[in-house]
Amino acid sequence: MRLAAGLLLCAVLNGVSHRLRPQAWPLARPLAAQASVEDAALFSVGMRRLAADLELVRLLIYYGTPQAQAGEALEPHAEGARVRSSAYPGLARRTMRILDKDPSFGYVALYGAGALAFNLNRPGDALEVLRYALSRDPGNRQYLAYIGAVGFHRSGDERGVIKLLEPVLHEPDCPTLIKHMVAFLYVRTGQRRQARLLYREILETSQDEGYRAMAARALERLGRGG
Amino acid sequence: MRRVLALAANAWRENLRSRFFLLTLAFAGIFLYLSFILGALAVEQQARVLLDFGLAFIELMGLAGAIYGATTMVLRELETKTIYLILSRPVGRGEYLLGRFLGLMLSVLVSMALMAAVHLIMLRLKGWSGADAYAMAWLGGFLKVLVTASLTLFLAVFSSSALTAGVIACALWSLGHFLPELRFLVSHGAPRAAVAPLTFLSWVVPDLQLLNFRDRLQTVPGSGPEAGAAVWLGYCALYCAVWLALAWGLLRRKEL
Amino acid sequence: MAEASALEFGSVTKTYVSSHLGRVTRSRGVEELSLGVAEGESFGLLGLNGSGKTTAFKLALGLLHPTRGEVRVLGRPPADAAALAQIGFLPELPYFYPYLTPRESLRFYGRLSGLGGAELSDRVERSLELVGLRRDGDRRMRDFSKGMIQRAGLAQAVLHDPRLIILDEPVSGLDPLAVKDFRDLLGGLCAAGKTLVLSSHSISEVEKLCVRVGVLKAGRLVRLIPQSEWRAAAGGLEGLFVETVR
Repeated sequence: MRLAAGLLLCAVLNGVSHRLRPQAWPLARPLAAQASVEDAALFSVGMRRLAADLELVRLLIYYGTPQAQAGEALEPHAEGARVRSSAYPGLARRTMRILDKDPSFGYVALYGAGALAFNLNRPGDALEVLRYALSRDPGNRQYLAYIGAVGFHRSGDERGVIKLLEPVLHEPDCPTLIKHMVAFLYVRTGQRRQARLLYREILETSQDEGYRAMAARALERLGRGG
Repeated sequence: MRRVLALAANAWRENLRSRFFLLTLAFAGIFLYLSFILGALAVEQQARVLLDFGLAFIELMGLAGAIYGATTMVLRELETKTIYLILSRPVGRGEYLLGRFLGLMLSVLVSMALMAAVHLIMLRLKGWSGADAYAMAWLGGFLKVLVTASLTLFLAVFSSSALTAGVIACALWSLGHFLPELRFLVSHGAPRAAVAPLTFLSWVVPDLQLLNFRDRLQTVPGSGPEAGAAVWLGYCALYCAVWLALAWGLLRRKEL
Repeated sequence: MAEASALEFGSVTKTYVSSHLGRVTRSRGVEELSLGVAEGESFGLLGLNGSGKTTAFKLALGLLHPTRGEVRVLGRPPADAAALAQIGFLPELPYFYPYLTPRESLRFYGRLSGLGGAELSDRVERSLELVGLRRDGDRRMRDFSKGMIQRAGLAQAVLHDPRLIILDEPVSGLDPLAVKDFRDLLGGLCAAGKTLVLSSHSISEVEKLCVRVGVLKAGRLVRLIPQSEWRAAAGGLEGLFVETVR
């Protein structure tokens, strides 16, 4: 009798908790067949964010490992580097998989979309990633700016890209990849002062050694008037 | 209440002098170091990885301590007969359970707080700031451990087997995180008879996802913390009270 | 039941029931036990292993519930808080928390018995002194010998100055010197008017301490022997006991 009363009270409590969160979060996709055993294990102990973190580390290793074939660039992040646009075919899929796990992981969407649009010249994939991210986090100002910037990039309007990305450059989760690309566009469009400022910011704040080294080289060139 | 506090203080003192704390802190040191290393691989997201790994680990260590404590606490006292010297005094069995439970949870709370202090220092070194969000995530973790421990204590008294109670508690911990999905499964598609056991579980297991603030540190609109502190604190308090009362009901009838 | 009884069993039967995989096993603890121990009396319970001595004590303390019959302790039901506050209990082979010192343990048990403040500190020191553990009061009990544990057990039993003291095999495993110390100590408690109920396999100790003895055989109280009877018997209490349980 007491057990029944206790269980009933639990049911009432869970009914209240259910009402507090009417939508299962984030539902359906994690249960899909593609969810790995690792994901299932982490989800089962309430660690979706951690699953997203591990997937991010894998994505960074994937994109940071040169897909070298004869005559192809080895440094995908370098300005002006010609990376085969079909390289890293899994980048968009991997990015969206991370967003499945943590829809609030804005950095991933911006990093993946930025790399696809501005390094790999696959604006279609970049827009797919951004639209996917936006569907999970509607109204995100950065995503909207990136969508516009990708559009300008596709039509070759470099000043348009700069105009749209400038307001979101100083957001805390703006990837250095994007800052570096905008600094590069500043140089291309003759805005050397802004380029210098942005490269200096990268040099001082970025945690990515590769970008810091590239920013230092760029500043040296700008100093020489190159 | 004085007796309850004396029992709690006794449990706390025993845990403090046993290897409970030493082991917890040793594991915490090793794991936080590993998450520091792993964080470096995430380049620009080092702080986030360190934050997530650390919080997850602190919670799991707290859970391990709480499940171990809740499963062995009463059973060990029955086995070693130390319970005779307590219950042959004017101590009610409900007071005994409550005192022991509070002592255990105080030990878990302090060990989780110590780990969090070390973790926060490491995060600060990485330039991370966000003490409010951290405090919420940590508190959510502790509350999850708290409600699971109360359920585990009931299971231990009910099954008289630490292993059985521990295994079931771990399974319920998992189910508690899948509760929204469980409800989705129950209400969509599957035949009612086939999901009857799941339906029952969906009403009884603790809603750990409600308290999983750690996974919602940054949230998308509409899926963040849904209710005020009074509601989820009330949920925890009532949920614990139910299982402690049921454990008391069992222990009261138990012959020692 | 007499009102002046410190401990009273009225036709008490205790049957242990255990079940495993649907098979129910019953075993007898005590059967139709009727016994009264008066206030201030020192009473011994003798019996072979498994005769029901410990079961009787657990019933008196409310640790077990009788299957039939009624138990009254100091005029109240067992496990009644007011009654338990007046009882001191030394179980057979008492166990303590290994990480605590005797002083800490006694403070803990004293608080559970409702003591506090200066009175608690005073009682703790007096109890340690009484059982000869004052010098070892701050050593962790995991390092204690069996004799020292038994002394600590007695200290916790008398700590709160109880009216009724129940001792289950109090001298088991003690060396001869410790046995004498225990005997003197328990004799002092009897002289102070405490009610003493003890069980022991050491018939000579029971003979020296008790004024009346009950013999349990297979859960039944088969004989009550007053001091005058064993003093008059040729074989003393041992002879009467052997004659009874054979």
